[in-house]
Amino acid sequence: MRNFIILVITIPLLTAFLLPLLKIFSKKLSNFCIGLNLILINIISFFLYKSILENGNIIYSVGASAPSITAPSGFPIRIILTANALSSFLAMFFTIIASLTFFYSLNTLKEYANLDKFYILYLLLLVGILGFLFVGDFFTLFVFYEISSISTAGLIVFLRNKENFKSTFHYLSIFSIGSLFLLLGIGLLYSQYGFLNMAIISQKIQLSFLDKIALSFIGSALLLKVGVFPFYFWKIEAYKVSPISAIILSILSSLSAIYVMFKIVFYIFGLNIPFIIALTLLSALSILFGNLLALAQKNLKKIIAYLAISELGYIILGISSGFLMQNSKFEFNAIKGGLFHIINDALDIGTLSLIIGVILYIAKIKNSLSYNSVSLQQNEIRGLAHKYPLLSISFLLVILALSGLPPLNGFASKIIIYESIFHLNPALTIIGVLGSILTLAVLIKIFALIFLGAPNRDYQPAPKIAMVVIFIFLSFMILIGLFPMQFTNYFINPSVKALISKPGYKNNIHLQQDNQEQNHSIIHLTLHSKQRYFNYI
Amino acid sequence: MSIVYQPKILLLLFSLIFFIIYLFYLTGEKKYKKDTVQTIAYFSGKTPYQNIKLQNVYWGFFKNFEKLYLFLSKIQRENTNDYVFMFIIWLTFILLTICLI
Amino acid sequence: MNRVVKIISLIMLSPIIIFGGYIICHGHLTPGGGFQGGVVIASAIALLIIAFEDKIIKNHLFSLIETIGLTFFISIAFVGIFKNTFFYNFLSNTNYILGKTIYFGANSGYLNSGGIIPLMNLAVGVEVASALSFIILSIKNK
Repeated sequence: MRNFIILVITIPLLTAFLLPLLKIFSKKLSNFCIGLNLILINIISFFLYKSILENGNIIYSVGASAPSITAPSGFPIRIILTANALSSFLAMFFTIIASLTFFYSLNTLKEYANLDKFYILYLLLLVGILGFLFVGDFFTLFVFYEISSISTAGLIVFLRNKENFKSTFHYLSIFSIGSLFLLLGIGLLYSQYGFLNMAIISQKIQLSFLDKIALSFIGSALLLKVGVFPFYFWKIEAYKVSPISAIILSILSSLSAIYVMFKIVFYIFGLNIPFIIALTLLSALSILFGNLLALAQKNLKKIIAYLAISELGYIILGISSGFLMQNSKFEFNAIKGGLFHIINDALDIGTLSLIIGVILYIAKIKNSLSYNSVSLQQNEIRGLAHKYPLLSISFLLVILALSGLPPLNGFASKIIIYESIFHLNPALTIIGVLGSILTLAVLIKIFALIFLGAPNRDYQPAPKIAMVVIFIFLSFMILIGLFPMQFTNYFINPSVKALISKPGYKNNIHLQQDNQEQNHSIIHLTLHSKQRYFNYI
Repeated sequence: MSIVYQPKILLLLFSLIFFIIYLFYLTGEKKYKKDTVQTIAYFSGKTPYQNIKLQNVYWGFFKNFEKLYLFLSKIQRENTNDYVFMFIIWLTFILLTICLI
Repeated sequence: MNRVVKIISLIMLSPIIIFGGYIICHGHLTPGGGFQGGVVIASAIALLIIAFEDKIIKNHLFSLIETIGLTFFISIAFVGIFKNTFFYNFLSNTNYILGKTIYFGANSGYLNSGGIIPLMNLAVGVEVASALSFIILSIKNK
């Protein structure tokens, strides 16, 4: 049971490495292996989540049986993975969505060449997302940050146009600077304390001026990966040109970056009040800006990007205002609303992008600026409701869910956020409700332009497996919307308790570290001299 | 929230509303001739309303927010230097708020 | 290219590959290791590609060798799960193949030690060499 953390990360890695070998035999064998792989990961992550609910947090060190066993003359630096209730629940949920979009992409990306390379990068991005959830020390954080950013760069450039190359170049340049700042922050922390382990640093930290600089560097590098208001430029360019399954995985990586950012800010640096106030203001601005700019767009995939930015703003607004209202009875509800909205956001925007993917597949537009874009101004796609009634009904349900209208899941999480933010400041609730209204306006305009009216040409038949995947997503949305209380009691409440209370794994490592320091006096001397040397500088 | 959100009552309400809408639908005319004057919606006033397209449905909103949209379009002009510049400026804002306050 | 260039590149092939192999194999004793040695071997293959630019070579062989190196790496890491944890060094401190116990203190380096680290160096060296020659070939073939 303890090894399940590493199996979730390395089994897709193994298949990604084996895929060029399997491709030689037949294409169907490789697709079958990927599908089998993803189902296996779903089962393993479910059992991991169950074992964490029963037994508590898991600490896993790669290469040794306990994290503080060192070589006779070495430093206690190990690669450590930790799992608590929130990260294992997110891992279970993300693997379900990733496997469903894999089956969707089998159907819609059929006629492109080099599809095996796409799936290798797809699995590598999944490895990056899942590993990012389980980090326990700073070196692993940097490694998985790099893995996920470079894999998305490869996925974005899959459809090759001139515009794609420019967008990927922008993406890579911004992310290389972001990862450099992350490395700078980690280097500042390591030079002060001599450890890379998150738990040990959180005990030994004194919040000096250098620590605050390190916090701002690491925090803004992780905010760059999330993609909220100040750092959203790469998101628009990247989503404009990439295939749909890459968009959904990139949204999942942004959601995992939210969890890691709050973990680092809360566990390691204590609660830094100015940073969290800044986060609240930036998320409120991102709700407004995301929805306002989405109204003026003519490209369908850019609209998905702006709506994703505003939904991420809701999540960060809920969680950070929960941290601001400590020692009051609304803290639990605010954080519960934010974490619940992670699930609903992934489902809603996932379904919206799947439907738009089906629309673009049906229309097969070849002569516009980039191959897979649609301009709403010229209105090239019209009147789809006559031939595809099921697609239009699912789009109507997505409109209800994204703008937070009653019987679906968007309402359930947004009303928890509204009513707990009200006690912090009523202006934030006004901004939230305005954002919902603007989302509704955007989506109704798209619906009316694309689905209503008379059709202007013949369209291809809808792909069947894609429609099945859309229905599975819709059934999740309806079930969560109809039974939100049961869903939050089983899944969300343990996650909120795991986020609020500082974890027990910290105490575990501390005790073993003390025993170890008595045994190996050589390590004691070398560590102390190292600290003194760096403190002089 | 427990008073507002009981999904079974909400489903009952929605089905009741749809039933009332169905009653209104039943009072319409069943026999009509297609492609004649009977199917065109009636607008009172002058006739230019027939040529307005659906893309311009929010024109009042855009007219009042025109300055904001022009300002934002100047920022996002797909120049790499501008993106890196914006990142470093926002990073210094966050740095100053954390360190000095 | 010239005849002189072709002959000299064929002569210089073996010292470069042996030097690259030396860097890979002594990765746990001297500076270097898998990545650096792989780059040296890839430079030898790049020399061949540049000298014989009228011959057509296909990319499939390098892709195959790369996957063999990578799967070797991951499967040895997986074996450690049966003993203790992932990536556990199950060959060190046993006097079996690569596990001579070395005592604390300065010494001149024993090739027989290190556990699974030399095997990992081999896998990474093979993989890096084939990956870099793949890149150079695809630039040439464009």
